[in-house]
Amino acid sequence: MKETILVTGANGFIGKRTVEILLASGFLVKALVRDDNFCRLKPHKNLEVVRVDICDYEKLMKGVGVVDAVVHLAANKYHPQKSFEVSIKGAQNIVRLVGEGRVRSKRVVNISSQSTKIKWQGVYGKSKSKGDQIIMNASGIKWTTLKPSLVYGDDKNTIFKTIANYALKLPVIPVIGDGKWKLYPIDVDDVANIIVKTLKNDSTVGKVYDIGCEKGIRFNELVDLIQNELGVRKKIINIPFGAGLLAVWVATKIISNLPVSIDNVLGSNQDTYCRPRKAIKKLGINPLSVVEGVRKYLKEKKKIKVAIVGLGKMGILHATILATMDEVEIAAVVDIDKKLGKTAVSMGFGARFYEDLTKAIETEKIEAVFICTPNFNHWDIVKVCLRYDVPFMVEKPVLAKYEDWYEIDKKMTKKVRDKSMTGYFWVQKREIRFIKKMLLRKVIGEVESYRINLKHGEVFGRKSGWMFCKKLSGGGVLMNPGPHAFSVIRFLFGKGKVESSRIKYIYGNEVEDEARVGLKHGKIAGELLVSWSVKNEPVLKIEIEIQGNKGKIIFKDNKLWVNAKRYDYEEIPCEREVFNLNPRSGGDAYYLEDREFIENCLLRKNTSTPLFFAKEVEEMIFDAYKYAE
Amino acid sequence: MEGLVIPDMTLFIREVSEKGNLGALMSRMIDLGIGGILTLGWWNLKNLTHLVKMEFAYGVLLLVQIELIKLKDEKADYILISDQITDLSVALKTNVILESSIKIIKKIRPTIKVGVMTNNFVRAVSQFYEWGLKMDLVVTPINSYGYEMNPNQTEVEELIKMNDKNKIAALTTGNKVKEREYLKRLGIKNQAWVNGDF
Repeated sequence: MKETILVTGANGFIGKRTVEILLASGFLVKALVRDDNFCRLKPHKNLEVVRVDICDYEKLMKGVGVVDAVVHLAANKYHPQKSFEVSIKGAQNIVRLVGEGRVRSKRVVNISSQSTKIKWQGVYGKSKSKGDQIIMNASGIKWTTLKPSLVYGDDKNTIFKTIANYALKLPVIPVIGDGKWKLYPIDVDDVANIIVKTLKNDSTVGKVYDIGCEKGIRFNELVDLIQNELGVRKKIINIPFGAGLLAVWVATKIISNLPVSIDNVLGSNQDTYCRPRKAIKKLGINPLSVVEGVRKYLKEKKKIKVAIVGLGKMGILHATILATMDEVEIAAVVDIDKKLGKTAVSMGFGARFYEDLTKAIETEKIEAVFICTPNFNHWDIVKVCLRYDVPFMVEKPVLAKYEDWYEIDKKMTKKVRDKSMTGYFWVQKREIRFIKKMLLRKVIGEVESYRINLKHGEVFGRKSGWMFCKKLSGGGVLMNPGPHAFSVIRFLFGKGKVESSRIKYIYGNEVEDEARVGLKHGKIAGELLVSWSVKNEPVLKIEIEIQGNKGKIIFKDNKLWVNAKRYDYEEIPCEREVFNLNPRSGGDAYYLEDREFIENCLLRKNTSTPLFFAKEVEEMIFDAYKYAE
Repeated sequence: MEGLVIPDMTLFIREVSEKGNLGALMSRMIDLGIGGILTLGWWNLKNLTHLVKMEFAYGVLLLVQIELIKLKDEKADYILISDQITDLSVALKTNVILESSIKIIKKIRPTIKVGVMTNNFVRAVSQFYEWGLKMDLVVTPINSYGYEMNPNQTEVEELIKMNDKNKIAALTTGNKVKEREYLKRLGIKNQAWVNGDF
């Protein structure tokens, strides 16, 4: 029968990894998690989460039931009262569980800290010492106490990442004290493995082990090692211990979530005489060296360097979506407006601001560009991308003048042609993808005709701004929201030939407010109505009706009917996992198009809307204008 | 139970496209009157340098505060931070907006419960833990179709199982029997509808 292990403090940095390794080793795990917080453990069939406060024995007893052994990690790091409460009460309750026969083997692996060994202890060191004494002095318990040195990992608050952050962002690296004390940093994976090995090894009962890497390193040397790995060189400024302690004490009173604590300062200025070799020998382990550890967690994964040009609504939207993708580094944000640049930089993308794309590409070695400016700027930016052979994703419409496409065709390399794409987010929408699937499966037989309406309530009078100036925008409703409808037509039926076109100027603007276009795709006849002057339509809407020789597809008001069978919008599955910023304004579709572009740049996958797709969409639009003239 | 969702980002974005960022914020501030503006100023004394630098997170925080002042006399059991704000914070990994908003809400309405809405439940919960953020309720899409259960239905269901169901509310699209049964199976008692009671 599998053994059941109770892990206290399972939601914490070491606890989370310990739970994973225990589960991977075949144990059943009861993970104790505070009841006032959300649990972030990964679900597993052998994992049971017990949501109780370790200080509340009645609830603890009921929640835990009976287990085979305990890994005791629970602690509250720096709170002056709670730290003692959790360490002392927590230890007492573990002893009580064993005493009442709720731990079959009476085995407890108690995780302590090197901070319990120093002379001048902070809250954490003092409270942990008291907890250790309760467990180690109790009778009838088969305890082993492990005292890890600094534990590091992928968590951004751990030592390597914190130093790396300082080295990258600060002009100098402040170190409190002389930096000559030795530490034995250990990888969280090694700590978790040691805990599991200790649990299985009865000869460790009644013993205390220091846990760390085999060869220690002085703090200043560690800072240098990390700087070497990052390829930076900043001066280390050693702050006198007393002054540093006072500064941190004052700062903790003013700032919450300070990255340094009093315990950190005390712990990092007194030698603990950590002796990890005893445990290494006894448990037959081979922990990562500091050099290997630094490489493991600080070695940069290959990321694609991206520039966002245009920091309006669309630029910020794309940047935010890209910020959720691990394989993307937003290296530059570009706009002619410095104020927008400042705000974009403050969003924390880690990007530098440029007023000029050329400079951004040259300085940052940009590999992909997102063009999110107004239409009239597209062509100038595209030209820069073509000159530097950088693939781009451009918001629709690509060009305000169709003739410029000839220029693109001439200058475009294979790389740019294969990887670039256009932001027609309607094509990414799940309902449109679903309709395409239905058409391919011939669910309604051969398509005979279709009718598409694009409705938006935006223009009900004279308007100003670039969008209403024909020279800048290239046109009105056909040119601006229009490409959404034309891209859907191109995606579902291929490129069509414009057979009729009528445009209307309802409110006396320089550009049109409504258009009716007739299209022909071989035997398929299509009708399109686009209008941005439809009352009570605050959000852009597309309605589709497709007639086949065996049935009909209707998409209207987020409802889809295929041959009279109704699908609610929620029933249509999304093809991929997404990070959705706002479902009400096509959030998942934006995510999907950005992911397609990035994957295409990295892995050469095909995109749904490459440049030739955009060219065909825009050819239909320009033909509609031509026909109307 | 009734909850207020703040801020109304859809309306704000629409105003931004007409008046610009600053214009949209200013017109909302003027609506608050002298008392409201003074309160806003007091809350933001220590954020002044960030606001002058036009830092994004502090601009959004200002928007949350404006709505909070506007709704200070509205009766409600919960105040929920809108999904656009939550998901933006999670995407950008910036805790300023949520942490400060929760702090201010708790300060001015100590008895009210505070929560968030999100469309990215699994990622958001993991991020809240990392930030040490505690909240009384998380409202997120939960439905038998798996619609907007991100990153996928299975992970959302598993995470629900491991957490306190009283702190989770399902954002549903209807009150159909099938949906009620699904939520019952997951142990979810709270159902939410935007612009309605929950």
